[in-house]
Amino acid sequence: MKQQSRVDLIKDLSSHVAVVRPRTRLLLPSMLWFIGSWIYVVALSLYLGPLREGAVKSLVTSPQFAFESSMGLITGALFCVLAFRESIPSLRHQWLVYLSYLSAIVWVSCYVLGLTFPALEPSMLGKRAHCVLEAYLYSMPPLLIGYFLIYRRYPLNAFRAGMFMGVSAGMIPALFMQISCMYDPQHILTHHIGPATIAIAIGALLGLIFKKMK
Amino acid sequence: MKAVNNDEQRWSQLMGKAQQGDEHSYADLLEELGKAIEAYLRSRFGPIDIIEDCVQESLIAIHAARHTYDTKRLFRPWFFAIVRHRTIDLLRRQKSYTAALERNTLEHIESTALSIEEEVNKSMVFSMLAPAYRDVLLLTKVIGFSTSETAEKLGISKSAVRVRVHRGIKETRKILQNEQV
Repeated sequence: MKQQSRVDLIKDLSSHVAVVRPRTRLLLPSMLWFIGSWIYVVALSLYLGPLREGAVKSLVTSPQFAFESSMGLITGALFCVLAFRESIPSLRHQWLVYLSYLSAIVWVSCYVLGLTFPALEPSMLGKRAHCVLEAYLYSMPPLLIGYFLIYRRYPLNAFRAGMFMGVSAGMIPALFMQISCMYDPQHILTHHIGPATIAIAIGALLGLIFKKMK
Repeated sequence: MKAVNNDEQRWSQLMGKAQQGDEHSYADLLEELGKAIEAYLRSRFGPIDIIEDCVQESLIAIHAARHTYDTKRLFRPWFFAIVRHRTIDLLRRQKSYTAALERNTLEHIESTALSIEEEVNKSMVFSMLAPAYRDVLLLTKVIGFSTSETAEKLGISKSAVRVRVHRGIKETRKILQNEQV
């Protein structure tokens, strides 16, 4: 710690203090990020390959499949909100953290349960050749943009903010693979949700790097 | 309670003006916040060495985070979230042994250790900590002994000291987070 007196420090900080534009709105940027990331992932996926035949129809005909997909969407949105709230001091609510964790557990449990009671008949129909790579790479631009938006505020716990952003960014392609790649719970767990964990790790790492920089 | 509400409103208004570039309001605010942080830390930790460091680091953090304060929200939760975070962070990073050596000689540390310990033990945070955590935090972070010296004094291993320091800081964070300020 610098041996600067408090009076001098206050003088330094307050002299010619710059006008700042408060960055306190969270709902609009978080929703813009979430919707924008979805549009990007869907557009890129469709550009590089078609949807699985009958996948969209399954959302209506199979309640279990619709539930799995809805839980994924809800979990991604919750973690997005969490990550953005983490960027402003005092806005983190512990109940929201627990709710998000619970939602993620329920979502992953759907596929674990699906190993015995699958929502749809497992098949190779619609298999994408590089779904692991796609699930991983698609999540990177949203993750970087999302973390940049958070970093512009003031996350007290940059590591946790990065991790939450990693979950949200990693889940978008993982969930979209649900309808654009083959349906098999084991394949989903290893090839779609698995790469999302890399996004979480990278998000946490970004947090550590930015923390050092700050 | 009325004083708290007055502070709340005044600080919020001053920060609003500071965000618009008002130097005098900002200087007044930082001065008041500096005193508030010092009083807050003294009442919770007693006369520990790092209070001035915590005050200054917190003021710098408040300066860096001032664009995240919304004048429509309460000021105190925002302010104390930053102070708690900086304090815990500093406590964790604190190399008391080295810092203490720079300021004092080892003999001085030994001779003043007892009186500091008595005062700090009475403070809110330390009185709420489990004895195992309190002892290691007192010896390493307040009095300024190294890990091996603390281990020797308490008759435990060095790794046990490190674990207790880690858990003690975690416990301290919980105590600070759970109280209403």
